[in-house]
Amino acid sequence: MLISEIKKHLKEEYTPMAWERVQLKLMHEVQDLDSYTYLDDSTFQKINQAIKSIYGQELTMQKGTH
Amino acid sequence: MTALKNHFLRGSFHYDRNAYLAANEPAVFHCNHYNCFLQAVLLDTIDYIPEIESVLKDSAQEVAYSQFKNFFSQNHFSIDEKKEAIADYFQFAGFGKIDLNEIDTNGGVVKTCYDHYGISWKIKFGLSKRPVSYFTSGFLAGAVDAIYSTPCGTYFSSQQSCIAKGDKESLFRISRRLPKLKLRESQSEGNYSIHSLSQSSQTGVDYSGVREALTHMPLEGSHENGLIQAFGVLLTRHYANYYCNISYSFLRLFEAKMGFKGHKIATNLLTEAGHVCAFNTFGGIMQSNEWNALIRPMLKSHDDWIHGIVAVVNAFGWGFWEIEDFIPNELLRLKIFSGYESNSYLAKFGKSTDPISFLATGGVAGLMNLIYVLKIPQKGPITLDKDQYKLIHSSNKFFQAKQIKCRAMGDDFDLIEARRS
Repeated sequence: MLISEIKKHLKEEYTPMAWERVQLKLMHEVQDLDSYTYLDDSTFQKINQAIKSIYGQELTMQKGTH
Repeated sequence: MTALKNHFLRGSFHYDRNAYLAANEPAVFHCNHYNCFLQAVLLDTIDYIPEIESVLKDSAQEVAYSQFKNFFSQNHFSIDEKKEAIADYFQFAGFGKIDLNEIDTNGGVVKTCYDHYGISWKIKFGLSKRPVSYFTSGFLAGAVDAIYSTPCGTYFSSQQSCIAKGDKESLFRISRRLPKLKLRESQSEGNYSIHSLSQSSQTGVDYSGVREALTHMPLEGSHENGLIQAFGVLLTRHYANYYCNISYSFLRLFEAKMGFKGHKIATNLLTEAGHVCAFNTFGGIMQSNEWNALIRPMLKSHDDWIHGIVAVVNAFGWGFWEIEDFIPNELLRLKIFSGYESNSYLAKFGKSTDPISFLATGGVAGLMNLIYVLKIPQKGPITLDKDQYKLIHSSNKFFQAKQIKCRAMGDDFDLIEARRS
């Protein structure tokens, strides 16, 4: 999945700074998330868990096949 | 109206530094949105900065202890009078209702159905999985330290149930802290500077008149629930040093763990807390009866709303806010003298190498976004909800601010500039 899709989704679904909160939450595990273009399964799961922890629910978008 | 008892603490507004002081502790007005968002951001790091929970609690313990120790040292109060004074101030400041009658030298239990943080968190974020009232918890421990004249940190408070979790009441258990830990006293007024309020020649807004009127408004927690419901938000007369100590301690811990990688993200989120604050509190004020009665008659144009709200900010205990340059719909450059962030930072940490006025920076951007992106002056009442907030950022060119000068870095004042992104 393209990370830009997640960023766009978070901004539309939650708050304008939702992506920054996810980055802050995952800072100890994945640094410099902004440098990613595509997400592997493991990183996607971490992001999903971070979103669940912050906003109470997982991503409502499906992981694509990019 | 009953007369204020002698052992009750209120404090006063100091016009030479634009600060509320109660027993030497500066108080600033802030809303539930800022309180909860700031705490939520700090707690986002709990997996790698587990100390953040202690920072949130201990910082509250330090300010409450320092304030009441100072207050009690000037008077001869009985234990019961001290307990009553603390419960009264907690209510006055909008933190909710507490009863300390079950507390003795061994500690005890405090239960409340009205706790600002618990109620506010549930309103803003829904139910929480864990207790959220770190401030109240720390406040209680500091208050008990002050009641029994023990060193700050002698007592410890743990929250057993929480309104934000869906519990009927919040319950705090206070006991002697083991192992012992000596906490620091707060920096009280910090490195403030004396200044005077300037009247802009570009507007008919009477800065001095607005400040005079607002600083005499009875903004205090209700007898029923101890909350300050005003301007569409839950206000608190919070401790300036609490905000500063949790924010700057967080940044220091963050840097110690992560280095400077991600530092920008952390500071952007602290600034965002200020933007959230401006959106909700300033937006609420601009739509309030008080605004319509007191400020609006002075406003000659939509651009004048900037002057109106800056005049209001000068009554918040945030220092002196002074417009240096203002190009409607394009630029706002604002000077802050004796801002509480720099006052506090300088006293606790010394000179900074980077700008630290995060609340003010987010706040200045927020003012411009309310007036020129959401166009509040041109609209009827709007509900300041998530959708409106997202509207700001969906605009192609919303306002962002940066701090150009910072008193904590050695400048004479803070200078913040907001421009379209």
